[in-house]
Amino acid sequence: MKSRQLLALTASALALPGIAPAARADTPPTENTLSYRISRYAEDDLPGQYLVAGSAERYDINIHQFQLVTPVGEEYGLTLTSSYESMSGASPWFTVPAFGDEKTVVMSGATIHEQRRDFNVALRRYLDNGNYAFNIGASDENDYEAWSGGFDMARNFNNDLTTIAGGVSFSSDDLSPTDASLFNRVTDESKRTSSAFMSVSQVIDRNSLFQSSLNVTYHSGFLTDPYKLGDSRPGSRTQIAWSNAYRRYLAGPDAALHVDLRLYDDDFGINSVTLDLSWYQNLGDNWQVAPRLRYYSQSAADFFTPVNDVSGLLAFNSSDYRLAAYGAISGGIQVQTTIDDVTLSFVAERYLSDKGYSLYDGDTSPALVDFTRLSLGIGYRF
Amino acid sequence: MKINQIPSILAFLPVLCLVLIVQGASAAETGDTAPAVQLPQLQVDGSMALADFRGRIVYLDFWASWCPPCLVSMPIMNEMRNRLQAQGVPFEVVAVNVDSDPEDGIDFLLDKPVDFIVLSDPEGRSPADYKVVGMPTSFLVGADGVIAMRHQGFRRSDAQTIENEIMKLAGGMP
Amino acid sequence: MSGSRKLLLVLLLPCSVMLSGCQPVQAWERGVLAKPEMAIDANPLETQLNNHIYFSKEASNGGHSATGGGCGCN
Repeated sequence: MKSRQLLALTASALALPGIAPAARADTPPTENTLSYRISRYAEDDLPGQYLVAGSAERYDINIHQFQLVTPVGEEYGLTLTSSYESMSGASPWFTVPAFGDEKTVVMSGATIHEQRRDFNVALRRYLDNGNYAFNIGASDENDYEAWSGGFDMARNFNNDLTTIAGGVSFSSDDLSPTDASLFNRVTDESKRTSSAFMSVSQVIDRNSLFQSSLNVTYHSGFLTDPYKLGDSRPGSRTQIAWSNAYRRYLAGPDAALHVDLRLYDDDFGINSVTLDLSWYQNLGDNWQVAPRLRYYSQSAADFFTPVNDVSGLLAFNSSDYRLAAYGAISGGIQVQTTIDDVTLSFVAERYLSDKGYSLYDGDTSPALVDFTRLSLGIGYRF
Repeated sequence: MKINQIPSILAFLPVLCLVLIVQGASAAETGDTAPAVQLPQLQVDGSMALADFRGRIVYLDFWASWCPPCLVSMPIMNEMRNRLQAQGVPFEVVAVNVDSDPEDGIDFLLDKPVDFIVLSDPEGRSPADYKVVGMPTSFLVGADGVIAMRHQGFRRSDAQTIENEIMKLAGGMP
Repeated sequence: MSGSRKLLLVLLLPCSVMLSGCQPVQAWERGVLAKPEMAIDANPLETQLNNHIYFSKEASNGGHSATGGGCGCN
């Protein structure tokens, strides 16, 4: 049996590419860059005391990413991005009460295997005082297909010390869940996503800059998880995210500090806070080590219940752990070295989520996820 | 928070920050006498002045190693300079490196050497005199020391425009 | 105070910081800002993968547009 959880680890809706970035804001690429990365994402097994039935083995995913950035004529830069994922594992199917306050999870039965491919093309034109880009993308797996497109533009003011950018993007997703008749699932559903952002970037001094952006995303259509038992969600969702980035270079240690803070609100009733800190330490001319720390916490959705509602009285209901109240702490390190035109990189990350880390009260889920991720990358300029 | 209030907030954000906008002072323009430049050389000992090239057409180029279009211009201007000099055109390129660490400029030139003169101005005094507002900015200074052309940015196709202007200046010379 | 009023105030904060803290940075003084590690998005493929994972495992969505900063080159 295949799980919707798996699909969720796809860029389908995420890859709203209007928000896909330009490598550098103000000049077209002057050379080609070809990059490849391989990553392994592995979720910890569900602890035995929470497992009632099914497989304790959660997802393992291998991800290949390719990117080519190339100049086109003198004013344009073309970015081609593609990725391929192969996944295996099981996911939470539904949650049932156990003794006392305990809840236990029924996992999907067997390990499944699934692939996903996506590609995205972005063409950006660079002008004297700004740039604009169009992009189009697609994502494909056996039960999920998504098309997306976007437009964004940026304009520099104030002797290029201030940049104002904005963009819109759209995505159309079609779902055709597997084993639909066997599990009484929907057979063919779709959803639409539109998103708009606006941002202001300001150079503060020679060594620091700040960016603030506001992002509004509207989803409509089938937002329910077809692979979860008894899952039923509203037919629309509006999300607002306010993101802030601060970058500061410190000449003494030859390092750059990155601080990112995001505040989020949606009409499912979820609020969240994300704080991301990185320290890019240069070591000599050719090495860079960047430790990173991230904190995330969200409140529960209004219709989240820790165990599935079987009464049928609730209009909307879900026990999806991603709609629960929890907090997550992750730490990682990136090591990068440059040898002539070749850049090699390695990234390791460990992610732990727990109700105990949460800033918010509210119901949580026994199915929160912990994972480890490793990436190896190579980039070649020519 | 009401969703329908978001657009007004979105509109507010840039308006607020636009308050910051202050335009730069007027630039050294075509027809002005080129401000004096006297600077140490980047790779070798000794200083040079713009006035040392009086009587020749000078392409004065402000560049830095961290500016991609600057780096595009260097080999192109080197080729043009050598070709025009071989044709007997009284032309010289004087490049002013403005890297705050001159080593960065030297490293770039070790990799991609040029034949023309490169001066070093890590303090940025000369680009301030020329009121440079974008990188790269170049000035075509006539044999009489007057600015004949100001050019900001650099694309490959700009080379022809620059060469045409040089030939026009050279044609008017005795 | 309504949520949007609060949001407005928080939006004001960074702008006022900019207004008071900004120093004019000349075109030739932007070498540090042009360093790759000073980009809003210093490693696009890493960011893409991270967003992908967090988007799938968390309820939140929406992030930066990674323009701004850079060398101020023309």
